[in-house]
Amino acid sequence: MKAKRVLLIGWDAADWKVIDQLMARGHMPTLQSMVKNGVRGNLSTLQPVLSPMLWSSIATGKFADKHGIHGFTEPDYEGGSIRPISSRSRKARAIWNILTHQGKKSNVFSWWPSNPAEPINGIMVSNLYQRANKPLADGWPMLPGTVHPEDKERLFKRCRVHPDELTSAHILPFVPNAGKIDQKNDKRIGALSKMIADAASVHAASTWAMENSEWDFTAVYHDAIDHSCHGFMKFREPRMPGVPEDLFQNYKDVVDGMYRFHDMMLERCLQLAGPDTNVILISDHGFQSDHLRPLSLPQEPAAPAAEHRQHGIICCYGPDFKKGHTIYGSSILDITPTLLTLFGLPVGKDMDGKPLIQAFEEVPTVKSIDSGEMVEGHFGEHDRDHKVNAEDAKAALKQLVELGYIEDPGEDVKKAMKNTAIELKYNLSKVYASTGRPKQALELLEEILSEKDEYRFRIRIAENLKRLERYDDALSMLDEIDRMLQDERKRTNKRLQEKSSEEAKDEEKDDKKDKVKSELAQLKKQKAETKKRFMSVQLLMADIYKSQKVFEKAIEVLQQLSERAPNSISVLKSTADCLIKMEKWKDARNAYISILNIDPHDHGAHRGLAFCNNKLGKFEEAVESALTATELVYQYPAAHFILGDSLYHLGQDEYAAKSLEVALAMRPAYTAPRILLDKMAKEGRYTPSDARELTIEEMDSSSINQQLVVQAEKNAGVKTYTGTKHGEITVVSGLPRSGTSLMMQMLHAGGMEIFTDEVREADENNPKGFYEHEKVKRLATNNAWIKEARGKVMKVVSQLTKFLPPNHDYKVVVMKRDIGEVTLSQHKMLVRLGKAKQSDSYPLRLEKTLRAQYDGAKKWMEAQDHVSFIEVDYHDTLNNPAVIAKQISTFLGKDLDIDAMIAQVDKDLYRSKTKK
Amino acid sequence: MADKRRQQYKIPLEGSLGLLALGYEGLVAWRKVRHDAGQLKEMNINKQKKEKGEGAE
Repeated sequence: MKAKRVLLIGWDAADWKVIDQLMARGHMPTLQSMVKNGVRGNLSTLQPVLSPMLWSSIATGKFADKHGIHGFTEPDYEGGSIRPISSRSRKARAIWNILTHQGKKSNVFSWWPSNPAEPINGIMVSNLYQRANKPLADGWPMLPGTVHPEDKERLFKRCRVHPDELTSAHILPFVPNAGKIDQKNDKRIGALSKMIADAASVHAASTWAMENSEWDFTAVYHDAIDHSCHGFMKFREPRMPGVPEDLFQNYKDVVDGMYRFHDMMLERCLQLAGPDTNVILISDHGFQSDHLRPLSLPQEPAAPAAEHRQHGIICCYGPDFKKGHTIYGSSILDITPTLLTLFGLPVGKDMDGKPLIQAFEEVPTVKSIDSGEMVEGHFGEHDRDHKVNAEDAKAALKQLVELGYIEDPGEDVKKAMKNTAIELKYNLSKVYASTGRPKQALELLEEILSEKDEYRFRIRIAENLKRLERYDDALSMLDEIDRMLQDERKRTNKRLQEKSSEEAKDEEKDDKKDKVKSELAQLKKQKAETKKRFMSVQLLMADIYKSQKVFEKAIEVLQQLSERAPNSISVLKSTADCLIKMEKWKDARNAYISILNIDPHDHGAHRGLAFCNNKLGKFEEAVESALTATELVYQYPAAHFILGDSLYHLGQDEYAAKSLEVALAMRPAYTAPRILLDKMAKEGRYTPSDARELTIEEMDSSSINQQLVVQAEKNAGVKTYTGTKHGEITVVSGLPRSGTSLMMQMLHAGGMEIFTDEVREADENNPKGFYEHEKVKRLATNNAWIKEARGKVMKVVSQLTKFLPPNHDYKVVVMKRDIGEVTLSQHKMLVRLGKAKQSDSYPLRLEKTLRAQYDGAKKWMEAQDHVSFIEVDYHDTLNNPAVIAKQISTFLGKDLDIDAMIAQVDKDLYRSKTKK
Repeated sequence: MADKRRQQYKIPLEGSLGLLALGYEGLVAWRKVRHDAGQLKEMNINKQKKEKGEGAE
């Protein structure tokens, strides 16, 4: 390897959906530079999506049943209480333990869970280091076990930033209205201060160590993005229903501000790491940031996890990584195997992840050993008798309660300990269920149910019974749940009636009225929750009927559900799946289209739509949908197969074979692509490549072998079929009235396809038409349609160019015209439309604004890697159309019809000569 | 404090996000400014007390 060391940075809950928006606006320049010069990709998370479990999987490369961290807290049977989950509970060796054994120095900061700090070769500052639970005036002692080695305690104590130290200079960038907020009643500023101070503390400690100690590996974990998302994502734009206007205005910028602050910290880390360091930035999961943000959370422990999204981020940057590359199919389990490979160390076969060799500039040699767990020597682990102080544990626990991650255990400690133990088992059952081990999951759940009877345990039991094909048992369980829910509904309705009549009584005192109101609100929440639970029961029932092939019954249940919740994606998905099983392709197609109307990024729906179109013989449409599915999630064998099959029917043999080979390399046990490739070979339409032979011989049939995917892609010459001109869009931009319509006419005449809906008809202002599309006007709020403009030319006014999504390349022809002329022309147009008077004075302010908008758009385009542009003067176009047409043809790299373009120029259209 | 281009920055007493983003160095620099300002304030108070004949502490 070329690099001397590795820096691993964890940003809990960071999500490309938000980052891409911020990078497009130039608000995260450091990460943007890392992406440009490195590798980016999605990072799949694991179930359940709970941070201590996930970050332990990241540090060990193992599922939670192997590493032993199963939740936020654990019973402390010796201390007779519960405590935050500790590093002592981890039973698998982490990357820093392995590196210690190899004599390499690691610095680890705030990794979750790392308290008490482990005696590694290097520095470890635990995850309880930065927490401040009391005012600074009350003192801020550091908990024992926070820092290793102990002689660094005083130093790192000074690196902590207390929330009370922060000033308006730190808060106003996040909340510009902070000064006007009543902080006695609104505690959000206090919560935000803690997040900023936490991040600053960890950053100060880690930057000190990066600068002043020797290290081979540094790992830094920040939770402020996750915490700010849980607290403030509901206030982010676009405004969610039910969010009051004042709160929205006050807090809409907090999440974006936190990302930007992290980008600033990242810049410092990269400076200190230097060019000889490989840097990996990751998150454990994403966070819903758009219309998919949940309106309410389930009423159960760890409910905030319902806001998490399946995909986190990964960005690899440094001497040993590719540049400007995207990787697919990565999981949080892959981080430790990748780190070991970077250090030239063997990967344990008992690890569940794989090295991300797609990210490496040169394919590395991957060494392996059976397991690193049994190797003897010094690994920098805890002694077995290392105890955690119960009081210290309680203080840390309080923090978790305040953050909303865990329920307040209450006074009944024994009960709390029992409940904690149950939660750990429940989380473990989810691990088993999500990793194909329903039998183990069921055993645990039945054990839990014997101790505590709750809806969530019963529904999980039914799910696992279904997985085990014990359909009758599963249906019996669902019947029982249904009865329980009906009783619950009756009870809730009765109490609601009682409380409503209490509320109606006028004579009650104000304080009692408030209490009744709050009880009513709680009951309404409970009623909504019961309704959701009924839906889950019926959805599962429909799934069981489908598995039993009793499709009519399944459809009957789903139709009932659909009447109650017409926009439920789960119901639509289940319905589409059932219709496919019934071979009702058109109906299934419609169901998938309904899903995509709600969520245009649903890769499963694109795949389903491709499948239906394929069955309906609409192969070109099938190719389009399958391509979209693979663009959203590349590691998607079923989508690659449908793509290959559809291309085969279109006679695109070469691309068909490539897609089928990729599908097969991703999942060797997948028979459908193999059968089709054999058929193609018999028909003389395909010659098997080396990659396929290797696939059969060497691959573990249950997993994805990246090395072979890379080889299949390499053999194929291109990654997969991407069609022609996919991903590139031509844009004509400029200020309104600067000749954009004229340029659209020229390009149209030159042979380019125009993206227009022709809604805006030609008029006196633009006699030859506007060439616009209504969807472009909504670009700032909805860009899901952008792929429709691929290969075409669309008109986007300067003010909207910054909203062009970065997942496409753009060639922009910018029309430039004297701003004074533009201003006058716009003014005349307004007069003609009756929206301004002829006698109105020259709009000087408008001129200034237009100039700023034009310059702003130009500056934005200059900063974007995916945008190239050419400025074309309006008058030059009128006076020398031949020269301009040729310039544009060269810029676009297209063989345009120059004569036809010239013929479009009509000097009579030259309007509003400036007369100031 | 100075950056690589050796430009001098006046560190504001109230701090800034930029200083926190600089990490340890930024934090130390900010605290030094606060500390110095605190000392200056104390000196001024003592001076005023002295002028009033109350005696410095």
